[in-house]
Amino acid sequence: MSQDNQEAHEPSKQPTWSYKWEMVVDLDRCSGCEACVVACHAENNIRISGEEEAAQGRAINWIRIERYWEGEYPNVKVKFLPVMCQHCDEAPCEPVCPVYASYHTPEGLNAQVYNRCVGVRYCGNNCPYVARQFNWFDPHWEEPLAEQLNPDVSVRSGGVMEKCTFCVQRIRRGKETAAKEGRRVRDGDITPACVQSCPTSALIFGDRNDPDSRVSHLKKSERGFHLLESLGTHPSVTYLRRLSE
Amino acid sequence: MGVLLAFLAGGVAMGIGALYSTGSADLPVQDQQPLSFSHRLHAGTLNINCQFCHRYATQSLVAGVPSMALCQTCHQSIKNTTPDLQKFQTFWNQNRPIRWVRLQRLPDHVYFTHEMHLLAGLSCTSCHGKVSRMSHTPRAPSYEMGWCLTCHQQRGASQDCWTCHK
Amino acid sequence: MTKRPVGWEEIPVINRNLLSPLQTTTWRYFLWVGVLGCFVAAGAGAWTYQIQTGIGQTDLHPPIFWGSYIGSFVFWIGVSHSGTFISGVLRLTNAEWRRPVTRMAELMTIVALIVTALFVFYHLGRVWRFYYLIPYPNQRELWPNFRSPLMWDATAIFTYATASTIYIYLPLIPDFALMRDRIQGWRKPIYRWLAVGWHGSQAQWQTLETAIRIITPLIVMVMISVHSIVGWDFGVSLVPGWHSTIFAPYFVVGAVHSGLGMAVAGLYILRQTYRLDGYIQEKHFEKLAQLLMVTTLVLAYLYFAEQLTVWYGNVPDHMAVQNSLLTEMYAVPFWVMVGCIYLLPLLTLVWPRFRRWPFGLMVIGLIINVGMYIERMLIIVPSLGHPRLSFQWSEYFPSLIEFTIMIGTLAFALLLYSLALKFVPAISIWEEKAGRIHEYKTREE
Repeated sequence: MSQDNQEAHEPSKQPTWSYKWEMVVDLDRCSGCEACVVACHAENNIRISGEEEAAQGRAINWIRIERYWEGEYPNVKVKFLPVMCQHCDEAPCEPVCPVYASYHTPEGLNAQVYNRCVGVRYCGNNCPYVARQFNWFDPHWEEPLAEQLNPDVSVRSGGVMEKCTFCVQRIRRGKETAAKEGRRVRDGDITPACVQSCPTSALIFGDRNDPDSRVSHLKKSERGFHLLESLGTHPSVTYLRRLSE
Repeated sequence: MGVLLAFLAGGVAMGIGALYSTGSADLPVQDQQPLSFSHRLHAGTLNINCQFCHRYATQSLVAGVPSMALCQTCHQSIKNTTPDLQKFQTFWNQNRPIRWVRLQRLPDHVYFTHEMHLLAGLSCTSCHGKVSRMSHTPRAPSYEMGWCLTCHQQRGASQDCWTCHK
Repeated sequence: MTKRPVGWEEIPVINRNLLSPLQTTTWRYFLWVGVLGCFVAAGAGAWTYQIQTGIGQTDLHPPIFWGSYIGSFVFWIGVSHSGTFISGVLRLTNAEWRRPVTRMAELMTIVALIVTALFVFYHLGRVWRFYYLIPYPNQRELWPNFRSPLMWDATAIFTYATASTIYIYLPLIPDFALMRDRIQGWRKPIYRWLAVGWHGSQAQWQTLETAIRIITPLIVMVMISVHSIVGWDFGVSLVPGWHSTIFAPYFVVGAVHSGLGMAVAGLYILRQTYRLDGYIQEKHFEKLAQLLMVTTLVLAYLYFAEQLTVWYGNVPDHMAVQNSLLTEMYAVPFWVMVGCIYLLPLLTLVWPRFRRWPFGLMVIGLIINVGMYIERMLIIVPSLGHPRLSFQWSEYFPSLIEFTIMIGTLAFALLLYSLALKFVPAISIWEEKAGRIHEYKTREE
């Protein structure tokens, strides 16, 4: 008997679960420390732009902290607004891509397939949140920084659009672990890098289809709103208004 | 004349394409390993289970190449009769690893996990061919996207881009 | 002896005059081609450098993802409308004065379309993957996305290019036959092949005229659809300043405006270079000037309607774009543009004497095109520079590489046109002859 037959066991019929990944950003908790930005860079192999390109406005950040000032000195108030891809259910970036590099996954993620992207950049124009980032040049890491690249995330070449994926590599792993154990992903199993690193827990991630998840509860909050809600993009990111107002 | 040339070019292209798709274009030259290893002998004649050597296949993304120590579990009790076996012994004596040439490599933008494919009930031969009959290890199928998709379609697996692209 | 129609003796003269540019080439032509070649080489070098190092050689940065290449793309496709509009619409309306104008305008269409396609390639981030945009069966089992306006665009332009090629080719057949008989050397077999056995029989003339009658209305429709779709590239998006219903008609009229301007300028230059005063007369310039007056007025009306709506509506997102144009960072190019495409043409073209002054019209034609080039940039950049989240507001000015590529491409267009003039006559010879005969006939009656 050859080993071929030993291995060909019956396909295991796994039950499939449907997920809808969403995020909640509690603006009342955000201190603007940008730990999320750093964590995101480390996790997602985001190219290092350098001083010059950053000054040109070309620094790539999948999540950025927008800082808005209110009032006149000395009575100024600063407001922080973390903005990442909103993973819109009616994403304006998706229909305009001529090659389907930008598309919607069955789990409600707005995906970007880097190796399909030809770089027409229409998606970048049509995103009202300016969440999409473009690789103007090939990436480069000084030794030994290249050794710290995440093998689960591809390194994007120049000429390719990219953006926040909600750390899809972690979602993938989480789902695989759950599938092996024959269960649904539990709330808290999957944490994107930004969520994991947020010292004030301003970012919460989870499955909207799970009625008991924290995201599902928080989304019902009175403080909840969506960014540029009037555009009808139906974002998957819900913001919670600040309390001190 | 032009038409004839076009047909000729098309014919040559089709011929090369056909050879490539059947894997015949893969020459044994590709198998330039530090020492000659025969899958036919190990997996075929000796009938060693794939996962005895490639032991991470069921628990990881990669199947893994066996360590020298693993080879030694059998080879310590085998007489070094052939030049290749002597070469192996030299590697072991000098405490040097064998730098196998990697033949099966997917591009950086592909996420592939052996673990989930085996869990879904696939066998090694489904993708790698009948290794037990190959003296060397040429690339079995092309590992192109359409090839993956065909199987995913047939077996009702996910066809979402982000299942396999990262 | 049979009575020859009046004007018979003019026919050899017409042949000689219009074929002479193909038969004699002066050193000035070679110098001109050489100079253009240098510019083209510079542009090609810049593009190669951009491909090797990355699209970052442009000044583009978020949120301004589109810039001079798309602006040039829109401009050049506008120029390409000169041919179809002038020759198509004038053929449809049976305007007699079209005869010396059609061929040179149609050539302009073909050249401009080639250049337009080039700008698509300059713009792509990974131009070496351009074939992902082409629908063909492949092992990946993937097709392009036809929901994307860019795919509509690609389809429309491809259709337009195909149709324009047929459209310029059909009226060329009798001329190809003439050149097959008159011109010796390496071009002769090519002309023989292109003349498809034309020998001027009654049946052939009838077939040709039917074919032209069929394709003319079709190409006018294609022309309108093409530029509407280019307008929708912007109009259907969410960007403040783009999302507007006026874009399609505005783009069509704008294209004809710049196309006419280019045609007037080209006509003047051809007339001076090849001494075609007898063929391209003041009345032709006058007719084109009248058309220019119409497009100026229509375009100004559409532009005013658009800006007024935005201004009165006073929606902050849209006002940010308009303010940047009217008073802020883009005010200088904006008012230059308004002067070039509306005010100057209006102030000059209203004078009947100016409309009969070829040199003045050429200058106005060129000014209109400079203005339209600026206008294309101003459609794209200020809108993209003012997204709704004001944190991301930004400015843009084309980089040196972008300018080199744009100028190189302009030189390439001129080079193509100059080379084409050595291959086909700039004025349709048989149509000119038919015109003369028609003229004498009407005079006799």
